Amino acid sequence: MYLEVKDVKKSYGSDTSYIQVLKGISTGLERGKMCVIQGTSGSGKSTLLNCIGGLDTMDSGSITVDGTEIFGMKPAQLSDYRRDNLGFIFQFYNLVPNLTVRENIQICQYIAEKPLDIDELLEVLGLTEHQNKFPAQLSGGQQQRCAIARALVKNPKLLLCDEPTGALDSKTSRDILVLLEQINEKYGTTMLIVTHNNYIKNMVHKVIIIKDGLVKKEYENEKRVPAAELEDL
Amino acid sequence: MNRVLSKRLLRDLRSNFGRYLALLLLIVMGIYLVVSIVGSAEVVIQGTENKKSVNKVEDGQFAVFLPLTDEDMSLLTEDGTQIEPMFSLDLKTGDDATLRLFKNRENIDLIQLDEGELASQMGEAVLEKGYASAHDIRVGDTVTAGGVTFTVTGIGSVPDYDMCIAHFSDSAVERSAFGLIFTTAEQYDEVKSGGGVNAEECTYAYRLGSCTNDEFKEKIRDIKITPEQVEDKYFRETVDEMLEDRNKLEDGINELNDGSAELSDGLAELSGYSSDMRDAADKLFEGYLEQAGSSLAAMGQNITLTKENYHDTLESLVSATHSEQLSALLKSIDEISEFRNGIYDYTEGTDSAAEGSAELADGVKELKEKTDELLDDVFSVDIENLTSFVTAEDNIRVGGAAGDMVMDKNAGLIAGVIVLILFAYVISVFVVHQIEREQSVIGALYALGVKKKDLMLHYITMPTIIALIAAVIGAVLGFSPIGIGTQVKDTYSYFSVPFFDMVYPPYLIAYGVVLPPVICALVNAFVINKKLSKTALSLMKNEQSAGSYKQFTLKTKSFPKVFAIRQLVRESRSAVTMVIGMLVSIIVIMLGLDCYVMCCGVRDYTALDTKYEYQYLYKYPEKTAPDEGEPAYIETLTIDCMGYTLDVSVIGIDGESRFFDAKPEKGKTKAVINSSLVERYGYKVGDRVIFSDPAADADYSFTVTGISEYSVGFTVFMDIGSMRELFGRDEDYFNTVYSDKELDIDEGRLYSVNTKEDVERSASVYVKLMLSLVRTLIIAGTIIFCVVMYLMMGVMIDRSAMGISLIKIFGYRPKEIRALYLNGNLFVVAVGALIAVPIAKKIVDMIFPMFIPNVACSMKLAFPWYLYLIIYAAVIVIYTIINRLLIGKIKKISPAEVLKNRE
Repeated sequence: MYLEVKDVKKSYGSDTSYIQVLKGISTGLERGKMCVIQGTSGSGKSTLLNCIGGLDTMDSGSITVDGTEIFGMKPAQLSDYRRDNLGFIFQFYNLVPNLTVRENIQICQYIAEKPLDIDELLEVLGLTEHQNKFPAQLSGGQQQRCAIARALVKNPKLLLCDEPTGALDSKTSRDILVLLEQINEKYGTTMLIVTHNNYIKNMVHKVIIIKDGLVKKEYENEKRVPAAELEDL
Repeated sequence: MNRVLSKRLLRDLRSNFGRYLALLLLIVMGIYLVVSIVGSAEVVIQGTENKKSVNKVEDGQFAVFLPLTDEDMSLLTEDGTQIEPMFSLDLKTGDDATLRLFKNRENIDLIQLDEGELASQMGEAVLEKGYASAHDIRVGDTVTAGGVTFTVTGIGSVPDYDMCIAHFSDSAVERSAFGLIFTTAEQYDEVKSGGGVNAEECTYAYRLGSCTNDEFKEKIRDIKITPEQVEDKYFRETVDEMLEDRNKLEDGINELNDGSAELSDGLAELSGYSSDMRDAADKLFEGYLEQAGSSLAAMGQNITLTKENYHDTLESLVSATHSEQLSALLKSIDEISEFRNGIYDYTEGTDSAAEGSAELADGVKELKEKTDELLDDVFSVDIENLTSFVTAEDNIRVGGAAGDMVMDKNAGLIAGVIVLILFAYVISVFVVHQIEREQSVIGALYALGVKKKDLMLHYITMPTIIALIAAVIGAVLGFSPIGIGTQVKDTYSYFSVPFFDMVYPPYLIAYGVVLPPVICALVNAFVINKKLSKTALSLMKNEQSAGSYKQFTLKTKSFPKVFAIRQLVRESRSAVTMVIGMLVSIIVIMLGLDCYVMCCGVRDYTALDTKYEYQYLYKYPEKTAPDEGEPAYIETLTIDCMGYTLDVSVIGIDGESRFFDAKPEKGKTKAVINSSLVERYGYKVGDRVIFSDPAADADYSFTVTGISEYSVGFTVFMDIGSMRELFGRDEDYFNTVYSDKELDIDEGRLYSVNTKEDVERSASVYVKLMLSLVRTLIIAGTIIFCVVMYLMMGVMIDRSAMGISLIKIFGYRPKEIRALYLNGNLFVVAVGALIAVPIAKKIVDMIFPMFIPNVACSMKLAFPWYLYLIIYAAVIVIYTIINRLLIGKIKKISPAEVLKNRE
């Protein structure tokens, strides 16, 4: 198992404001697979993603990525873990506004040991002609593609996507999902996608449904539908 | 809605506590400095003004050769003018200090006692407070001066010596070396009669009646003195020397007059006998003719001989008769005739001589009369009594403290404006940052119907309250004992002034308390109004216009460089503020350093340029200078400096002076000026410079023929011969002798003796005096620098929190984050300092003369190269420390930040 999550618990606050968000989640994902985590607002899906991404600490449990245990890591170790293994895609892109498309991608290229070729990536993502533009000059879809390029340039083993289409219209969302699918196929990148969208689960290999901090249901998707053929987004 | 928004204020204060605290500190310090500097100036200025009537401050003072007579006094006071003698004797103390002895004052420049009472008996004295403080002398202690021991009954000050210097030409107060002592008239007279003291200074103070200063001066100038009135033996000697020459000339003329009169009389007498002599000669001749006629009659020739026909008649008879007797007769009559003619010629000559001698006698008499007038002119026995005349306005000793404070006040107000502008700019950066950070919230509030003015009020409130609180704290501290109380101590420790009452000028309260919040509110209103002009939707979407970021292509392939440049451009406003803050703080620091460098320069160069060991200033010069001394002629003229009258010493020297590195050319309008004048006025060779002699109401114009590297005061060198000619002195006149060893000169002849040690000690006073101000300026400048840099770099990091959080998610290490977000600042600081340091130096050098317009001293402001290096290194070191402090701030930024906020 490339990603293995065992009995992860996470809580916030104390006394009257105490809330346990993750109540002992256990799950896993094979290398090179795409997985969707679904759940209602407040179910704990984003918290789980943050814990896997080393952005948040868990109270107990275990998360191993490619055999490496995250629990108990110090901030500097977590930083190296993210640097060496992960790529992130956010709902609101989080591009650096004063850098051009190319320069935004260079942020991650700079710290990668074996980065992908930026020009090739720009070509694949259809950004070649926009590479010298600033984020404010791009559409939402173009910005998200730039964010994807930035996440991919260091060729991460695990790509964490937090509502990657949440801020996009239907057509653009499909384009982005097609792109993620192509990347998964081309680079064999393992992907964990947190989404509200009920249709995206149809294109991935595994679906995990969380409710009230627990895995309510998880299953392998035997009948995958290519992203381009998803019915409604 | 306002109530809801106001709840955010405290939360905003809590979340930005460090920043508001730093801002508060900046304003508090700025206002504290302004209020304390300007307030202390007001305390002294208003205090001095208030004390004028209490202490009956003089309108001016004048010095005379001889004390005024009762008649003179009546003449000068007839219009209601008050005059009081301020005669003084300089007494030496055991530690080689000088105490100037005065009688108690009665009507003018009254003694203001800090403690004790006036001297009322023999052996009692009031001591000037500066000297007393420097020597730790209290009431009841004794002090010995001029061989006399006085019991100190009081300690105080007088308004005509609030800058307590011995001579007008002294540039700095030396409390330990010079002071004043006041005693009873009887005690004063006893000290004076005891001898062994320098010549008495006959100075009078006056308070004008209905006339003006100029009119009063003219009245004094009309008062002449005669040599007979002079008692001082050295003065008598000098006058006698002058009279000896006059008497010789007068005797010669008198002798000539007497001789010519005698001659005239003798010749007149002689001429009186001419007629008799002529009559006798005529009679003799006629008798001879008669006798010859008788002889001819005896010979049968009955001929009447006359003086007209005798020669022809006898000659014709001789040729007819060939008579030898007749021939002999003719010859003898011819001889008698010649004799008679001779008598006539002689008597006519005598008459002419008598007439001539009478004319000569008249001429000589006229010559004598004219010569007497000439001698009166040349030998000025009717000496003008006035030797100096100084109005209170031109007297640096009177109101010196207040004059000094005027500059402090102006400098403080200007510095305050600079600090206010700086903090207004700093606040604007904060506000812009806050609004940009919250613009989606603002947009939402807009959309919900909140009005722009409500939002403006909300965003203006906190910084304005902070500014108001800071201003109040700053003003309270400024007006407190640690503000004005501390600042005014410098005045009390330098000037000899009474303790002034505290004042609270309304304009300063307004300046200190009202201006900061008003400026803050205005700047915020301007900036916020601009920022809130966007539509609600635009704000909610957090839209960045395409033009928000400078669109330019970067050639470099190095990503960190590209990033740092982009970051720098993005944060250019903060960077500019940081550089402006750096410039302002370096200006403040540079002011302190310039002050220190100048004071050290005065001390060091004075020591270096003073090549003599002794300077003897004569009141009654001798005929010839002592063999081992170098005679010189000194006159004191004045020059205006920003409304202040400063003394210029004109020194007449020989071409090859042992003690001055100046070779003045011959000529009454040619002069070599010293480097201090060049530094202050920018004169150069070929310029025409004008100095004044207020006592004589005369201006002197010189062409600068050279510049001498001589740093002592303002000095002009002239060829001594030309100078004597210019000022109407004898060709061997001198009034100063320089020497490299002590000379044996009667003390009574001298005004004063200055040693090299005195000059050096006087010059080194500046360093001690200015050290606290230098320290304050450097500390204040450094604090401003640190606060501004910390605030601005903090703002830059805050503004970049999202980006930092983002790259933390990507796995950037702290070192790499620093490289991307903070190292660009190093570039700003490094380049900024490289520009700011020389600019600040240039600015301070330009404005520096404004701070010392009342001091005639050299102004060498050039820094050694290593001082620039130290300043630059200090800037980088401070930056590095602040950078290190801010790393903690970067560490605190959570990677999850980016997940919470949406840029």
